[in-house]
Amino acid sequence: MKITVTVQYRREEKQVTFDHKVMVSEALKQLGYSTETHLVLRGGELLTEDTRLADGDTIKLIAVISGGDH
Amino acid sequence: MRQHRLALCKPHFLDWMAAQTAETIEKFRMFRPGERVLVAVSGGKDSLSLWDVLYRLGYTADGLYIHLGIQTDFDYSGASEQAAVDFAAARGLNLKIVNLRQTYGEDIAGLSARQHRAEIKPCSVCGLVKRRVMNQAAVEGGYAALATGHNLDDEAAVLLANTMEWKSELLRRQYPVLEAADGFARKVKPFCRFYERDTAAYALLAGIAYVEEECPFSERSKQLEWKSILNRWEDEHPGRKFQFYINFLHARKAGLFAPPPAVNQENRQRCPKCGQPTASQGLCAFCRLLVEDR
Repeated sequence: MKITVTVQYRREEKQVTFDHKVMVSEALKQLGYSTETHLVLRGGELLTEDTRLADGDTIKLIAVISGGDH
Repeated sequence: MRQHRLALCKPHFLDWMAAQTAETIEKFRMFRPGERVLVAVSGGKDSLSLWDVLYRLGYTADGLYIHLGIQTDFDYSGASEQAAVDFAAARGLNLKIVNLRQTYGEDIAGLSARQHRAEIKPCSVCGLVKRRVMNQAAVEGGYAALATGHNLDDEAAVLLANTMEWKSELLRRQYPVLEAADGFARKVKPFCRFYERDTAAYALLAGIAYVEEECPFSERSKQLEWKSILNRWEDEHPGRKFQFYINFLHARKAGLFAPPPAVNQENRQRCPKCGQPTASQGLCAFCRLLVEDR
Protein backbone atom coordinates (compact mmCIF):
# COMPACT_ATOMS: atom_id res chain seq x y z
CA MET A 1 0.00 0.00 0.00
CA LYS A 2 1.39 3.38 -1.02
CA ILE A 3 1.80 6.04 1.64
CA THR A 4 2.28 9.78 1.34
CA VAL A 5 4.44 11.60 3.86
CA THR A 6 5.05 15.31 4.33
CA VAL A 7 8.78 15.94 4.61
CA GLN A 8 10.10 19.16 6.17
CA TYR A 9 13.74 20.03 5.62
CA ARG A 10 15.62 23.30 5.90
CA ARG A 11 12.56 25.56 5.92
CA GLU A 12 11.06 23.71 2.93
CA GLU A 13 8.21 21.20 2.81
CA LYS A 14 7.19 18.63 0.20
CA GLN A 15 4.92 15.59 -0.20
CA VAL A 16 6.65 12.29 -0.89
CA THR A 17 4.95 9.03 -1.87
CA PHE A 18 6.50 5.68 -0.97
CA ASP A 19 5.48 2.28 -2.35
CA HIS A 20 4.82 0.82 1.08
CA LYS A 21 5.06 1.61 4.80
CA VAL A 22 8.78 2.31 4.82
CA MET A 23 11.08 2.40 7.80
CA VAL A 24 12.90 5.65 8.59
CA SER A 25 16.18 4.24 7.23
CA GLU A 26 14.51 3.28 3.91
CA ALA A 27 12.78 6.63 3.63
CA LEU A 28 16.05 8.51 4.12
CA LYS A 29 17.77 6.31 1.55
CA GLN A 30 15.03 6.89 -1.02
CA LEU A 31 15.20 10.63 -0.36
CA GLY A 32 18.97 10.52 -0.90
CA TYR A 33 20.03 11.26 2.65
CA SER A 34 22.35 9.28 4.90
CA THR A 35 21.17 7.98 8.26
CA GLU A 36 24.60 8.93 9.51
CA THR A 37 24.06 12.61 8.83
CA HIS A 38 20.33 13.04 9.40
CA LEU A 39 17.90 12.52 12.27
CA VAL A 40 14.14 12.31 11.83
CA LEU A 41 11.44 13.80 14.05
CA ARG A 42 7.72 13.05 14.00
CA GLY A 43 5.51 15.21 16.18
CA GLY A 44 8.62 16.43 17.96
CA GLU A 45 9.67 12.87 18.84
CA LEU A 46 12.99 11.51 17.65
CA LEU A 47 12.49 8.36 15.58
CA THR A 48 14.77 5.34 15.48
CA GLU A 49 15.83 4.01 12.10
CA ASP A 50 13.53 1.00 12.31
CA THR A 51 10.37 3.06 12.97
CA ARG A 52 7.77 2.58 10.23
CA LEU A 53 6.20 5.67 8.72
CA ALA A 54 2.46 5.77 8.12
CA ASP A 55 0.29 7.41 5.51
CA GLY A 56 -0.28 11.08 6.39
CA ASP A 57 2.78 11.38 8.64
CA THR A 58 4.68 14.65 8.78
CA ILE A 59 8.36 14.21 9.46
CA LYS A 60 11.14 16.73 9.95
CA LEU A 61 14.70 15.97 8.85
CA ILE A 62 17.52 17.36 10.95
CA ALA A 63 20.99 17.62 9.40
CA VAL A 64 23.57 16.92 12.05
CA ILE A 65 26.80 17.76 10.26
CA SER A 66 28.41 21.10 10.90
CA GLY A 67 31.54 22.42 9.28
CA GLY A 68 34.21 24.99 9.84
CA ASP A 69 37.89 24.99 10.62
CA HIS A 70 39.29 24.28 14.05
CA MET B 1 24.55 3.82 18.10
CA ARG B 2 25.92 1.33 15.59
CA GLN B 3 29.52 2.08 16.56
CA HIS B 4 28.79 0.76 20.05
CA ARG B 5 26.11 -1.79 19.03
CA LEU B 6 23.95 -0.08 21.59
CA ALA B 7 20.33 1.11 21.50
CA LEU B 8 18.98 3.14 24.41
CA CYS B 9 15.70 4.74 25.37
CA LYS B 10 15.57 8.49 26.01
CA PRO B 11 16.36 8.59 29.77
CA HIS B 12 19.11 5.99 29.47
CA PHE B 13 20.62 7.75 26.44
CA LEU B 14 20.78 11.07 28.33
CA ASP B 15 22.36 9.31 31.32
CA TRP B 16 24.79 7.43 29.07
CA MET B 17 25.97 10.68 27.42
CA ALA B 18 26.58 12.26 30.83
CA ALA B 19 28.40 9.19 32.17
CA GLN B 20 30.56 8.90 29.06
CA THR B 21 31.45 12.60 29.28
CA ALA B 22 32.42 12.22 32.94
CA GLU B 23 34.56 9.21 32.00
CA THR B 24 36.30 11.15 29.22
CA ILE B 25 37.00 14.09 31.56
CA GLU B 26 38.50 11.72 34.10
CA LYS B 27 40.37 9.51 31.61
CA PHE B 28 42.18 12.44 30.03
CA ARG B 29 42.44 14.39 33.32
CA MET B 30 40.76 17.40 31.78
CA PHE B 31 39.68 19.14 34.99
CA ARG B 32 38.51 18.25 38.48
CA PRO B 33 35.21 18.87 40.25
CA GLY B 34 35.24 22.33 41.80
CA GLU B 35 37.57 23.80 39.19
CA ARG B 36 36.14 26.57 37.04
CA VAL B 37 35.67 25.75 33.37
CA LEU B 38 34.89 28.10 30.50
CA VAL B 39 32.72 26.54 27.78
CA ALA B 40 32.95 28.11 24.33
CA VAL B 41 29.36 28.15 23.07
CA SER B 42 28.31 28.84 19.51
CA GLY B 43 24.57 28.36 19.94
CA GLY B 44 24.81 25.05 18.08
CA LYS B 45 24.07 21.50 19.21
CA ASP B 46 27.56 20.45 20.29
CA SER B 47 28.54 23.32 22.56
CA LEU B 48 25.13 23.77 24.18
CA SER B 49 24.86 20.01 24.77
CA LEU B 50 28.33 20.03 26.32
CA TRP B 51 27.40 22.94 28.59
CA ASP B 52 24.19 21.12 29.55
CA VAL B 53 26.03 17.89 30.40
CA LEU B 54 28.65 19.72 32.48
CA TYR B 55 25.84 21.54 34.29
CA ARG B 56 24.02 18.25 34.97
CA LEU B 57 27.26 16.68 36.21
CA GLY B 58 27.68 19.52 38.68
CA TYR B 59 30.77 21.17 37.22
CA THR B 60 31.27 24.90 37.63
CA ALA B 61 30.98 25.90 33.99
CA ASP B 62 30.58 29.43 32.62
CA GLY B 63 29.89 30.13 28.95
CA LEU B 64 31.58 32.33 26.37
CA TYR B 65 29.77 33.43 23.23
CA ILE B 66 31.63 35.28 20.48
CA HIS B 67 29.34 37.39 18.30
CA LEU B 68 31.04 37.12 14.91
CA GLY B 69 28.61 39.31 12.99
CA ILE B 70 27.68 36.60 10.47
CA GLN B 71 24.53 37.54 8.62
CA THR B 72 23.07 36.84 5.19
CA ASP B 73 19.31 36.70 4.65
CA PHE B 74 19.31 35.14 8.10
CA ASP B 75 20.88 36.77 11.16
CA TYR B 76 22.98 33.73 12.03
CA SER B 77 25.05 35.37 14.77
CA GLY B 78 22.05 37.12 16.30
CA ALA B 79 20.03 33.90 16.47
CA SER B 80 23.03 32.00 17.85
CA GLU B 81 23.61 34.58 20.56
CA GLN B 82 19.93 34.44 21.53
CA ALA B 83 20.08 30.64 21.81
CA ALA B 84 23.10 30.91 24.12
CA VAL B 85 21.48 33.67 26.19
CA ASP B 86 18.21 31.74 26.57
CA PHE B 87 20.07 28.55 27.48
CA ALA B 88 22.09 30.30 30.21
CA ALA B 89 19.08 32.17 31.58
CA ALA B 90 16.99 29.00 31.87
CA ARG B 91 19.70 27.36 33.99
CA GLY B 92 20.97 30.40 35.88
CA LEU B 93 24.43 30.07 34.29
CA ASN B 94 26.97 32.82 33.62
CA LEU B 95 27.49 33.79 29.98
CA LYS B 96 30.16 36.22 28.79
CA ILE B 97 29.56 37.74 25.36
CA VAL B 98 32.30 39.22 23.18
CA ASN B 99 30.99 41.17 20.19
CA LEU B 100 33.67 41.26 17.53
CA ARG B 101 32.55 44.49 15.86
CA GLN B 102 32.05 46.32 19.13
CA THR B 103 35.37 45.13 20.54
CA TYR B 104 37.62 45.16 17.47
CA GLY B 105 35.68 47.31 14.98
CA GLU B 106 35.20 44.57 12.41
CA ASP B 107 33.17 41.39 11.92
CA ILE B 108 34.25 38.12 10.26
CA ALA B 109 33.17 39.13 6.76
CA GLY B 110 35.12 42.38 7.07
CA LEU B 111 38.23 40.69 8.37
CA SER B 112 38.06 38.02 5.65
CA ALA B 113 37.66 40.65 2.94
CA ARG B 114 40.95 42.23 4.00
CA GLN B 115 42.90 39.14 3.10
CA HIS B 116 44.91 39.46 -0.08
CA ARG B 117 45.53 35.76 -0.51
CA ALA B 118 42.63 34.00 -2.20
CA GLU B 119 43.32 30.72 -0.41
CA ILE B 120 42.46 32.24 2.96
CA LYS B 121 38.83 31.36 3.59
CA PRO B 122 36.41 32.88 6.13
CA CYS B 123 36.63 29.66 8.20
CA SER B 124 40.39 30.12 8.60
CA VAL B 125 39.99 33.74 9.69
CA CYS B 126 37.11 32.77 11.97
CA GLY B 127 39.20 29.98 13.53
CA LEU B 128 42.07 32.36 14.20
CA VAL B 129 39.81 35.00 15.75
CA LYS B 130 37.89 32.52 17.91
CA ARG B 131 41.06 30.84 19.19
CA ARG B 132 42.49 34.19 20.19
CA VAL B 133 39.31 35.52 21.88
CA MET B 134 38.64 32.22 23.66
CA ASN B 135 42.20 31.98 24.93
CA GLN B 136 42.21 35.54 26.20
CA ALA B 137 38.88 35.07 28.01
CA ALA B 138 40.02 31.81 29.63
CA VAL B 139 43.40 33.20 30.73
CA GLU B 140 42.07 36.52 32.01
CA GLY B 141 39.16 34.80 33.72
CA GLY B 142 41.51 32.45 35.56
CA TYR B 143 39.71 29.31 34.36
CA ALA B 144 41.25 25.86 34.87
CA ALA B 145 40.31 24.89 31.32
CA LEU B 146 38.64 26.08 28.14
CA ALA B 147 36.17 23.42 26.95
CA THR B 148 34.99 23.21 23.35
CA GLY B 149 32.25 21.07 21.84
CA HIS B 150 34.43 19.30 19.27
CA ASN B 151 32.98 15.86 18.61
CA LEU B 152 34.45 12.69 17.11
CA ASP B 153 33.41 13.68 13.58
CA ASP B 154 35.30 16.96 13.95
CA GLU B 155 38.36 15.18 15.29
CA ALA B 156 38.26 12.41 12.70
CA ALA B 157 37.93 14.96 9.88
CA VAL B 158 40.96 16.89 11.13
CA LEU B 159 42.86 13.64 11.57
CA LEU B 160 42.05 12.53 8.03
CA ALA B 161 43.03 15.91 6.58
CA ASN B 162 46.32 16.02 8.48
CA THR B 163 47.10 12.40 7.58
CA MET B 164 46.37 12.87 3.88
CA GLU B 165 48.69 15.87 3.85
CA TRP B 166 51.21 14.38 6.36
CA LYS B 167 51.13 17.38 8.63
CA SER B 168 53.26 15.72 11.28
CA GLU B 169 53.36 18.63 13.70
CA LEU B 170 49.56 18.92 13.68
CA LEU B 171 49.19 15.13 14.06
CA ARG B 172 51.49 15.26 17.07
CA ARG B 173 49.44 18.03 18.66
CA GLN B 174 46.00 16.46 18.10
CA TYR B 175 44.74 15.22 21.44
CA PRO B 176 41.67 15.71 23.67
CA VAL B 177 43.77 17.91 25.96
CA LEU B 178 46.16 20.69 25.05
CA GLU B 179 48.15 21.57 28.13
CA ALA B 180 48.40 25.13 29.38
CA ALA B 181 51.59 26.99 28.54
CA ASP B 182 52.84 30.49 29.13
CA GLY B 183 49.96 32.70 28.02
CA PHE B 184 47.91 29.78 26.70
CA ALA B 185 44.90 28.33 28.48
CA ARG B 186 44.46 24.60 28.95
CA LYS B 187 42.09 23.38 26.21
CA VAL B 188 39.89 20.30 26.50
CA LYS B 189 37.39 18.44 24.32
CA PRO B 190 35.07 16.38 26.56
CA PHE B 191 32.83 15.36 23.61
CA CYS B 192 35.67 13.98 21.48
CA ARG B 193 34.38 10.38 21.69
CA PHE B 194 30.79 11.18 20.59
CA TYR B 195 29.52 11.05 17.04
CA GLU B 196 27.99 14.28 15.79
CA ARG B 197 24.76 12.34 15.37
CA ASP B 198 24.75 11.57 19.09
CA THR B 199 25.31 15.16 20.21
CA ALA B 200 22.44 16.24 17.95
CA ALA B 201 20.24 13.50 19.40
CA TYR B 202 21.19 14.61 22.90
CA ALA B 203 20.23 18.22 22.15
CA LEU B 204 16.86 17.15 20.71
CA LEU B 205 16.07 14.73 23.53
CA ALA B 206 17.20 17.14 26.26
CA GLY B 207 14.97 19.84 24.77
CA ILE B 208 17.84 22.21 24.03
CA ALA B 209 16.78 24.97 21.62
CA TYR B 210 19.87 25.22 19.44
CA VAL B 211 20.36 26.92 16.08
CA GLU B 212 19.82 24.26 13.42
CA GLU B 213 20.93 26.46 10.54
CA GLU B 214 24.49 26.04 9.45
CA CYS B 215 26.94 28.93 9.28
CA PRO B 216 26.54 30.34 5.74
CA PHE B 217 30.31 30.37 5.32
CA SER B 218 30.67 26.66 6.11
CA GLU B 219 29.58 25.65 2.59
CA ARG B 220 33.10 26.54 1.54
CA SER B 221 34.66 24.62 4.41
CA LYS B 222 37.14 21.88 3.56
CA GLN B 223 36.16 20.12 6.76
CA LEU B 224 32.78 19.22 5.25
CA GLU B 225 34.53 17.42 2.41
CA TRP B 226 36.54 15.30 4.84
CA LYS B 227 33.41 14.57 6.85
CA SER B 228 31.57 13.52 3.71
CA ILE B 229 34.33 11.00 2.87
CA LEU B 230 34.26 9.61 6.40
CA ASN B 231 30.47 9.35 6.47
CA ARG B 232 30.36 7.44 3.18
CA TRP B 233 32.85 5.06 4.76
CA GLU B 234 30.78 4.88 7.95
CA ASP B 235 27.61 4.09 5.98
CA GLU B 236 29.31 1.02 4.51
CA HIS B 237 31.18 0.00 7.64
CA PRO B 238 29.53 1.20 10.87
CA GLY B 239 32.06 2.07 13.55
CA ARG B 240 34.93 2.95 11.22
CA LYS B 241 35.00 6.63 12.20
CA PHE B 242 35.20 5.65 15.84
CA GLN B 243 38.01 3.15 15.20
CA PHE B 244 39.91 5.62 13.04
CA TYR B 245 40.06 8.25 15.78
CA ILE B 246 40.28 6.04 18.87
CA ASN B 247 42.99 3.85 17.35
CA PHE B 248 44.92 7.02 16.51
CA LEU B 249 44.82 7.97 20.20
CA HIS B 250 46.03 4.49 21.12
CA ALA B 251 48.83 4.66 18.56
CA ARG B 252 49.81 8.08 19.81
CA LYS B 253 49.94 6.81 23.37
CA ALA B 254 52.02 3.83 22.25
CA GLY B 255 54.63 6.22 20.86
CA LEU B 256 53.80 6.29 17.13
CA PHE B 257 54.64 9.98 17.10
CA ALA B 258 57.82 11.39 18.56
CA PRO B 259 57.27 13.55 21.62
CA PRO B 260 57.06 17.24 20.84
CA PRO B 261 60.32 19.13 21.12
CA ALA B 262 60.64 21.03 24.38
CA VAL B 263 59.27 24.51 24.01
CA ASN B 264 61.95 27.05 24.53
CA GLN B 265 60.19 29.57 26.73
CA GLU B 266 62.92 32.13 26.10
CA ASN B 267 62.19 32.08 22.38
CA ARG B 268 58.46 32.60 22.83
CA GLN B 269 57.55 36.16 21.91
CA ARG B 270 54.86 38.46 23.20
CA CYS B 271 52.86 40.49 20.74
CA PRO B 272 53.84 44.15 21.27
CA LYS B 273 50.26 45.27 20.64
CA CYS B 274 48.08 42.83 22.64
CA GLY B 275 50.60 41.05 24.87
CA GLN B 276 49.40 37.57 23.83
CA PRO B 277 52.04 34.88 23.17
CA THR B 278 53.14 34.43 19.57
CA ALA B 279 55.65 32.19 17.79
CA SER B 280 57.02 34.95 15.61
CA GLN B 281 58.56 38.35 16.19
CA GLY B 282 56.38 41.43 15.82
CA LEU B 283 52.61 41.44 15.82
CA CYS B 284 50.72 38.19 16.40
CA ALA B 285 48.56 36.76 13.60
CA PHE B 286 45.40 38.21 15.17
CA CYS B 287 46.77 41.75 15.41
CA ARG B 288 48.19 41.52 11.88
CA LEU B 289 44.68 40.65 10.76
CA LEU B 290 43.29 43.77 12.42
CA VAL B 291 45.85 46.16 10.99
CA GLU B 292 46.00 44.71 7.46
CA ASP B 293 45.02 47.22 4.77
CA ARG B 294 44.90 50.02 7.27
